Amino acid sequence: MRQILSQCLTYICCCLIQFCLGEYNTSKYFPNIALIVIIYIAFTKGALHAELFGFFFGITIDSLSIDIFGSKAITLTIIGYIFGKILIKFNKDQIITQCTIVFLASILYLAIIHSMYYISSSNRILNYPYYVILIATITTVAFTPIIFNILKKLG
Amino acid sequence: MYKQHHHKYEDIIFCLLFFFCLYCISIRNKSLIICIRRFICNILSTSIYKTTKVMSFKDDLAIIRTIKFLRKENTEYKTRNKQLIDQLRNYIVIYEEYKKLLQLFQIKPIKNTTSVFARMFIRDCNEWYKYIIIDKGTSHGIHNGFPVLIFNKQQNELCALGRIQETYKTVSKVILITKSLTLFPVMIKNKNIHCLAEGNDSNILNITYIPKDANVKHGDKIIISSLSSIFQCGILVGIITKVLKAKSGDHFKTAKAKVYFDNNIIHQAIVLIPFKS
Repeated sequence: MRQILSQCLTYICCCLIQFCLGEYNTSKYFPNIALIVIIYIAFTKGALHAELFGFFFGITIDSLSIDIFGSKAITLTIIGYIFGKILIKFNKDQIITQCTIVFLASILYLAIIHSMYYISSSNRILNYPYYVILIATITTVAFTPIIFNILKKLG
Repeated sequence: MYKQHHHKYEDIIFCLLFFFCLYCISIRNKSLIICIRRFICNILSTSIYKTTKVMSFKDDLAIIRTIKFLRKENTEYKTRNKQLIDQLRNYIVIYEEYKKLLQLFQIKPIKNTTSVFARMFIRDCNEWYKYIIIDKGTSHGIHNGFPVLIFNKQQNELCALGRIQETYKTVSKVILITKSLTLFPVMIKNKNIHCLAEGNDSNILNITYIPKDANVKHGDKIIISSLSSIFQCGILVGIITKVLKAKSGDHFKTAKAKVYFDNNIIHQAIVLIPFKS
């Protein structure tokens, strides 16, 4: 019961932070909190929890934004599943490992999202300059150890 | 070290979620989905706006009123747009028919025109019914001989005012239809009686060459005849105020007509410029 409540609380907090500060903020350099949380869940709980969290968070963000419906849900589900499967081989306590994994996850996230927009002939996201994407990725990586520590303390 | 969990159904759940996401992507363009998402976005955008900007309750109400007003306005514009589209469609059909008839009867086509609104800024007291000066000239595409009209509020129609006599870069001189020695062909509205209107340096026109047996009465409207080379046919000119009896031996009678533009103070004139196709 405590675990379910904790996960629900994490989900709500993550949604609020991402929506209020990230998705609708004028700054495009806000870290991808959802991605970091999914990687953390993939580390701690495994693929099932990560993919479920990714799916629910993705579908929520898709419902509340004007992007392609289902695009973020599928991307975050895939990331949750893949990283949940492969993270067993890594030493998860090291900050460098965490940052590398989140960096790779960010690259995969952007690659899937861009491909989806490219396939659907919508160039909305492709209008972002590359330096914006790069800075956003670096910010996400930079915030990784902090969010990991917070989540670890919260249990 | 973190503890790693494994579930035997994680692959199956992943497949289910993956296909559900694909299904979501495939139905993203359905009207119901679009409608729901727009509704959520509308609600959310207002709430997000609140988080980024501290607003009072009064501001919120103002925004809600604005949204309501804009939606109402949008609906009205959509209705008007539909009406205009219908009118345009009808117009296209009529125009096609008109072109066919022109070819069939070998008639000269009507000149298409565009309107230039000009403001009158000089009207000399000594030449009150002779000339006016307007604030548009050659730089606005106006040239000598172009017809000048005025909007009659009482009749809710355009009526003849004069024609351009002199043009300069930013101003033009308009010779009014009421100037003496000005002659132009007119006709009695709905009676198909062609005659001539002659200026008199007053607000009264002399209508000449009315056939002796023509049924012309006080109150009949005078419009531009199809014989006019300056004005388009059917433009209002004036109203018959007095019909004079024909002299013995004459085949024509005359009448007096009051011009329509005299009822208005001339603020804005409309110059009709031939449309370049």
